[in-house]
Amino acid sequence: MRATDLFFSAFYIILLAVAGTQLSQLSDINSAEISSKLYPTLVVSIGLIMGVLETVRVLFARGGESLPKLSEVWAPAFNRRRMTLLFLFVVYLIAIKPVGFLVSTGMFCFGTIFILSPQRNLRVAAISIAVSAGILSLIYLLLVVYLEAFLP
Amino acid sequence: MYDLMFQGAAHVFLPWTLFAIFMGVAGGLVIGAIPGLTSTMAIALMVPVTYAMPIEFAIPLLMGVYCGAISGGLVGAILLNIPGTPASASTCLDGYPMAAKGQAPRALGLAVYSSMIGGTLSGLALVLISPLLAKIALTFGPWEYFALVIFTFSCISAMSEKGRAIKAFMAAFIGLGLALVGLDEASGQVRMTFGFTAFESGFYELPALIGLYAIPQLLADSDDIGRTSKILKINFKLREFTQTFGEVIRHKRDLLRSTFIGIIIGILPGVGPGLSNIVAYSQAKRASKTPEKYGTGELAESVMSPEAANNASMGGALIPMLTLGIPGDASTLMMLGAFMLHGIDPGPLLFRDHGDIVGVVFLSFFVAFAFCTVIYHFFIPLTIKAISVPRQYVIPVLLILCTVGCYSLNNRMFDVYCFLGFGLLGYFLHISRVPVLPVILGLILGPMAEEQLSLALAFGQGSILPFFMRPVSGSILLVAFLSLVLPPIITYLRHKKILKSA
Repeated sequence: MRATDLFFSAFYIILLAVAGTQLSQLSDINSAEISSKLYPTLVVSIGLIMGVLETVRVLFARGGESLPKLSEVWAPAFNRRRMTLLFLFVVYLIAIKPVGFLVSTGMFCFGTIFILSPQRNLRVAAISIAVSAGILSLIYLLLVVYLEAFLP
Repeated sequence: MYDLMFQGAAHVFLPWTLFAIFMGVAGGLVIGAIPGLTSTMAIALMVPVTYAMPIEFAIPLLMGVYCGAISGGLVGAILLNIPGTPASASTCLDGYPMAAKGQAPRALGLAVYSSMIGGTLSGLALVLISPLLAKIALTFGPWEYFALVIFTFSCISAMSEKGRAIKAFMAAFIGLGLALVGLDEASGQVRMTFGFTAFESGFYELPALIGLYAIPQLLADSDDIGRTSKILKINFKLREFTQTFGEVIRHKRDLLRSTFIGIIIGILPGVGPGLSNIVAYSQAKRASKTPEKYGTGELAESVMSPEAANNASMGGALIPMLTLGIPGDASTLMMLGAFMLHGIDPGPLLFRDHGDIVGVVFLSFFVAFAFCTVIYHFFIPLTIKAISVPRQYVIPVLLILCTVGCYSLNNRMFDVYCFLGFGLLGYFLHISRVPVLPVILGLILGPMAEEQLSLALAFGQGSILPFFMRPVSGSILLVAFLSLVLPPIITYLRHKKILKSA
């Protein structure tokens, strides 16, 4: 867990440091009573101080032996099923524009149910098709008929 | 107060609005009953759908979802030993053993009636406290509002897990940082966009909220695919179920204590039903003459206490949201998003400018609980069926509905990509055991903090002294400071005492 904490702290400090690089691009208006840089600078600098404090605390904290190890935390987080689902979802979002909303949604729904199912057979395929058809009808009614939205 | 109620009644007691509340409750119950799907997720799914609805119709629907989803958690907790929502975590401890002894209708009845009574009493607290607090809040200046934002973050930090307080603050700063992205209305310049024009309008709150909550939750839920959970088979008899009402009334002391705990915890910003049910259970055990029987499923009060408290938190959590614009928990944060989506900013002015909407909230809260009670009497077997739907069908459907919801807000793919981006951030925080709620609070309260700080400094000619010298703002900041400093000092002193005695 200590390694995970340090990893988070590193990510956090880098994130705020990158945000800090944008502060110099802000300029003040002469008539303004309060500098427009004040609040962003406060957020970034206090945030960075927090990050450094937490990093120091984690580095010098005692009793970390009982906490779960990095591999114990990260292995379930990156297990095959979760990553497959995430991959399919990212592909779906990327495919929406070129393939079209309804087609990509139907394919994602059918594919995800079929791939994630513990058993893959004709029955599962039939259920996947039925669920996909149901969700497509719902989306069509909701977006096109009810909200009158333009689908990509 | 009466005029608010009458104005609200004109909107709520219409056939279609009542039907919307009923459907909201039913949908919320189903989602809340499915383990892993929280009330926050239920509201997140519904908020975009309400975009095209008039607010007088949308708010009752969402109140129905909110009440149904929090209450729905008890079914999974009692019959599966898995809480449907974190709000029912303590219900498992005695509800499941009671059901396993063949007393499932009793366990369900105790949980349902205590939920409904707790929820209704918290509704009364909401109706009585909110207008008073709103009147007081009207006298607040920017100093007090800024102090309240600080207090909110200190609350989240103080309530976080041991050793994770600074992490909660760091999460809040991520949210505050993300809120900086886009156009600064005061100076008219864009900031933190890294040259991307898409970022100039900033991050829309709802895709961020939905992404941070839904994606990590659904990814984690995919672990349950293929797992066969053992649902207790029950022979549901309505008579046996209704007989527990008398048992609930006989334990009025436990019921009132838990309700009070729930309301108070609900009012505290950033914490809600997830904590109140645990505190209420432990307090009931402490007050019991037979604490050794807790966990065995024998005592009625051990099932009632957590359920009364988690529902009581709902009314409590709505109080700061309506009167100050500060959400009491993640679900009210979503409700806040819904108000903002309809162009209404909750706060003390809401009571003056949109009294009818406040009345709608009050009345639909009570109506939702009434429908919830009715549904539980007649549709429990159906709710049981809902919890046994295989997860592989639920997860992709919910991901698609979230995507559709984010897209339909502005009809642009940028919001969908933001939803994914925030989802990945939420998943990283989930792995790192960093709470997500402070990020969202930072994102929503960031603009308010900036505006109020600028105003306070401008009014005070650059001086920060009024923050400490004004009685209300000074007191709020003092409480915030104490809530941060006292817990580690008390822990240190306790530790020292134990070492000495050893």
